[in-house]
Amino acid sequence: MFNKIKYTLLLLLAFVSHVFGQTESTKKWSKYVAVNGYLKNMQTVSFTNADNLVGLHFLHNRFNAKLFLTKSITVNASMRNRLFYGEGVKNNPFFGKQTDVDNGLVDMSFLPVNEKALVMHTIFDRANVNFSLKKMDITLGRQRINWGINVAWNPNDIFNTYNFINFDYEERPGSDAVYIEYYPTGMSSMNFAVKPAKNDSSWVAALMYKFNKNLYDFQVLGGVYNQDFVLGGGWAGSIKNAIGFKGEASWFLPQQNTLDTTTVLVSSASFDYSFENSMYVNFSVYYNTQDFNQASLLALQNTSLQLTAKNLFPSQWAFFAQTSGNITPLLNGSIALMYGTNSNLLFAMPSITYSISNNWDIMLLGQSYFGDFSGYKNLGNSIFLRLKWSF
Amino acid sequence: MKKIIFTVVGILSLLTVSAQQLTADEIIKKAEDKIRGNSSYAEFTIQIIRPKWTREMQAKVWSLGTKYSLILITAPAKEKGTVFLKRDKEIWNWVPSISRTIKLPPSMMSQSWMGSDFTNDDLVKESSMEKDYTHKLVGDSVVDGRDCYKIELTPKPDAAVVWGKIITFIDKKDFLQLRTEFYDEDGYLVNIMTGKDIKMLGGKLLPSKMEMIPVDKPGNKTVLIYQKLEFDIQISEDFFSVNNMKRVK
Repeated sequence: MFNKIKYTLLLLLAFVSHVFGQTESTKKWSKYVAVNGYLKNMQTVSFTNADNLVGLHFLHNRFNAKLFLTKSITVNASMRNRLFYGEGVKNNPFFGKQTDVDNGLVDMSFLPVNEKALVMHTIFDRANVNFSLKKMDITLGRQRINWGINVAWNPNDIFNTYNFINFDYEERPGSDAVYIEYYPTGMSSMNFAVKPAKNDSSWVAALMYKFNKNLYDFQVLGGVYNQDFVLGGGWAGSIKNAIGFKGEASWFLPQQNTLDTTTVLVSSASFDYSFENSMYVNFSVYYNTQDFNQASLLALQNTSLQLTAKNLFPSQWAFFAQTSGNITPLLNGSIALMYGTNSNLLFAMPSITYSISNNWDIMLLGQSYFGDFSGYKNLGNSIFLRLKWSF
Repeated sequence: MKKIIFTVVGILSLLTVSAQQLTADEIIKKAEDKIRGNSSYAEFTIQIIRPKWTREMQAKVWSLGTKYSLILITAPAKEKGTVFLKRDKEIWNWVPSISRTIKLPPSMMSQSWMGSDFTNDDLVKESSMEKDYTHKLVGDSVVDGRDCYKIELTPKPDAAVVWGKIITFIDKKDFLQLRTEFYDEDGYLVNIMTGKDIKMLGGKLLPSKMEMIPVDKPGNKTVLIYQKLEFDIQISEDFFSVNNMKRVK
């Protein structure tokens, strides 16, 4: 046990000194290799009341590497390493097993340490090769295919559903896919992606055309999404050349009609504005023709489960408001609120981030859920304290 | 031989005479032309200096005319790889960590750039000293040991500028803007911009270090240092495209 901890710490130390020590020689190598990432220390406390506090702590390292093989061939690999400890690990004998999940075609998730009070998890969430031609990009392997437009809800993001609440994993898991982007002009593109799956009914494949017209970006897409056909589209532009105005919608049609299949329309629109004092505001609305869904409530709270593009929030109608800005030049504050009409579900996420130096930040973030489930009540709270060093 | 020297000296003195007879308009035009090309490429460091802290960032920027510009952040580590693209009235942001192109609201333009004393608008300069102001030669001065013209700029009535008056000191020999004082509409001095560390950049002799000092905030300044500056580079509109944001290095 102690040997394992020692081993892990040594590994981290070796890695840190490696990064520091490389600064001079990296300059020579930067033509061929690029590395970056971060190291975070996160302290978490979750509770429904003061008698029931659960602490979870982890060290989180991200390591991105790019290898420029030729002018047009690049290999990308990203590694996410997390070392968990605390009551949250001790109280849950299945913690390691639950964390060691890889939804991709190839299992690139590992548990180098899986002890009662200490778990280390490593996953390669990007591992791909990119061929960059004059008017085309071809990317093979684990990658992020991000077709969403809005901040909070992305019905068009059919390859990597984004869960806004999971703030500590903004990179998201990658998709094991083949992605071809063809550029007829600089401002338009035809994109084709296929994400195969072990299970025949979990394939995702779609074609998307993007273009820019009258100061608006537009996109239309069509394809296969699990057991549905999908048609979708979106826009991003502005009103009166000041307020950002964006939206996206996807229509899911079952490939086979049975009693329990139904067409589903998922849509979201948003407005955003940036004030001169750097304050930013965003308002979004979400509508899903499907009624309240228990599965998406669970997925929303348990970030190891994934939301789906068909089910982005546990409510038919939902609203989102976010504001962020600098309280002082080094201190940034933000509040995000989500409200779902079903069960009057309310989610609040306030945070403050302080810039300690060029590469060091500290953030304090809270999350609270409220809802009408046999009486209106608090469903859970978490407080996160995160120290981050970027390299 | 003597004849040649005589001729050279003669030409030089002629040049000097004609330089002394330049009007304020011509001096400003020469100074502005010096820092402007139809297209440009720059690598720079921007330092935000406050009494208790400093922050630094580095970027590469390409521009074409006043309509197109593209900025690639190269430091700090957290922002590295982030790209901003401006095409006329539209702006986009490429965030490599989440592989997404985000269209920004146009209101983002007038914001202070990354917390500095410059605004986004300053960086993609749309206002022009030459076109938006009337110029008056008010005297001679010496800045950092160099002889300068002292010129007063008053905004034209219809110009969309924030200053009440600008006084700029332009080097007589190389038309370098060595010191510029920005006054508000009540005549109070607000900002001082200085140009230092004169060297060859992109085939021209230019100040490589610009400092913007807010007068009423002691200990505060923003420093812009050019590592590289090239003018009239071969670049097309297609470079300034959403598709190229992902590829630019």
